[in-house]
Amino acid sequence: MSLAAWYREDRDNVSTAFSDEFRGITALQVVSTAALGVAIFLNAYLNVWVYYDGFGPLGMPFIAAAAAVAIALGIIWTLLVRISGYLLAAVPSVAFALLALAEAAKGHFGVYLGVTLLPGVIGAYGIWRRAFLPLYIGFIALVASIFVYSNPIDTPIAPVFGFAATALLYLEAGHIAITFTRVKARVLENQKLSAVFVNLYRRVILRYGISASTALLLTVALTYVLVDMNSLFAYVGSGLVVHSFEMTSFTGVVISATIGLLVISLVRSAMPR
Amino acid sequence: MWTLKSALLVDAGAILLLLGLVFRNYQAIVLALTLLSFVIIVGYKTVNVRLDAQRTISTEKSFEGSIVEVRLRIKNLGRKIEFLEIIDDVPPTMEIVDGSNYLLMTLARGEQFVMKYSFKCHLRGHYSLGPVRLRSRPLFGMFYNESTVDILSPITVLPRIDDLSGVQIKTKFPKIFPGALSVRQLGAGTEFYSIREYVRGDELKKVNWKAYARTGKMMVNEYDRENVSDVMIVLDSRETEGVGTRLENPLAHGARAAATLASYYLGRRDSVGVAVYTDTLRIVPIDAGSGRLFRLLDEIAAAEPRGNAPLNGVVDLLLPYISPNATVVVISTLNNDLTVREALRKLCAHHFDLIVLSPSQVDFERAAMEIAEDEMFRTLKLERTILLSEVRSYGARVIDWLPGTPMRRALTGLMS
Repeated sequence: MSLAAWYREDRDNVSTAFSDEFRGITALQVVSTAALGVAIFLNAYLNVWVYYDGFGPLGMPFIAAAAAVAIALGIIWTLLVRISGYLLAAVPSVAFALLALAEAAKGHFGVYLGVTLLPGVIGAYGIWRRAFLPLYIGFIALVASIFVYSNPIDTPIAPVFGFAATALLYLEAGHIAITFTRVKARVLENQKLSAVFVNLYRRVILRYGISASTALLLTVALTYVLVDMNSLFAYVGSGLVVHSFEMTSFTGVVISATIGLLVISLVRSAMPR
Repeated sequence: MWTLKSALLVDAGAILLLLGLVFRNYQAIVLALTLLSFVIIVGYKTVNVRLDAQRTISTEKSFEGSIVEVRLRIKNLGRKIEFLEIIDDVPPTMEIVDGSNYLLMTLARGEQFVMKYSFKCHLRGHYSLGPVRLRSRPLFGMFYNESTVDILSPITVLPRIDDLSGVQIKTKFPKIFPGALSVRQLGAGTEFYSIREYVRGDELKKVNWKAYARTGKMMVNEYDRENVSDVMIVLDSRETEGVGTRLENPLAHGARAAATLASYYLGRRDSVGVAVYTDTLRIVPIDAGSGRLFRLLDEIAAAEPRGNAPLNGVVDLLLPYISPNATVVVISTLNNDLTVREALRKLCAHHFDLIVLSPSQVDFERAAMEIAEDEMFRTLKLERTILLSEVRSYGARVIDWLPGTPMRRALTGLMS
């Protein structure tokens, strides 16, 4: 057998199915999808529920159902794309058309579609098809949807932080799931799975889980400190600064947070690595 | 080096911060600060890779088709590495058959790991394993660091030697000193050659009593003389010999034939030399001895298809190295060389026992390109047949070696 033929045959024999040894990847995908669902829900909550003071007679359950429907649509879309790749282009187009039509018919429903359907469909597709591009486009869609209506500074802080944390978790878990999938595929090309390798791989995934949880907690804590940085400045300042309108305004919060971010970044870069 | 992911997160954070400020969107501000905080927390952790790697291989010399085992011991001399990819570079003609030359792992400080894999050597040549390529990054993939550990393990894959037991390749001209090779002349050997009538002076022990009983005449056996002979194997390694696939081409077959013949002749205590020509000529002079085979195989293993030296010029350079009446084995497609006739005629004129083993390039090319037997193919085959007939007319023994024909079967043509 020629080398080229051997290589071809070897590649043909490569299994792409996920075996039990690698359920770590699937767990990451589930975490990422769940995070996406929660982020969509909180986004809808913030953009629709808070801003419009409720969503008609249906209320909260409707928004929760919206997030679930978005994720379900994403998974269905993923399955459909497996059947025909042409749907990849068709479904977002249909979604945009629906969004436009719904917005024209009834404003609230259009918002619902905007904040749930697009990031849900594209993000779920990216996670479960293990493709970076849709994963990032889903994140962009999620971020874009927060600009449909702007939240004022007195927005409840819990859903805002929850949204930020889950959006980051979605991106990070999805990213690492795809990375590990590619690493795994590469190993399979070379060789069947050995117990040694499976153990090594499990150890990496476990290590990732611990590190990701720690990093996420620290991130949320640091963000909280940064958002409240204007209070710190007011506390350490004196005179006009303490009572100034600029310090407590939206711009004051952002500028204080940015200054705090730069200082912490500077300190962090000087710390031993 | 920072990754695309980290750049995207920083960009997204900065853009969101500004957009949030412009649109007075609190949600955007918090998201931006979260992204940037995440980069600050996980992004500054550097990866200093300090690894010690040692590779041991089961053998430095192997034959085509054999399996070599590799053990790569990796020890982390620096800080903990969370995400380390290791690739031990293996030449592309090797097939990994067990284990893996690629691994992903986490290595604690001082921890060591032994990576094991085996590969099958498909093609002769001089190779080296390594270097060990490393890619390390923190788990969150904000940046990565690529480095290499320059440990190289040379490995020589010698051409496969086919079994020629039972094949008797006879040569026309003996040397003075007795040896094991039967030459096609009568003499005091042990191998039966013919039978003839008894004449005065014949030894009685040579009388064939059965023939006497059958014919009523005194008959005696005749035996081959057994003598050592000098053999020079000339391997054509020009560019044109590489036509076909990487594993199936005239040179690959020719190299195996050269190795097999060298082993065969040396096994019979002959003196053997090898000349490989590309755009240059490399000669291992004719000699005998137990360690001779690997010296010859090393030279054959290094043959790469390149250059286009004419055979006539090669013969001119080679003549001083060939002892009179030696056997000269030319392994060549005889293609794309206008000096072939003159060169082979010259060898015959010098009374060498000339054997031409000619892999059919036309057939190799056709097999590689999967083309049909068309008019052009038939014309080329006819030209080749005419050339080989002409060479036979000089007194050379010529073997037209078709792809797929085992060497043993091809060489049986030399027995007659």
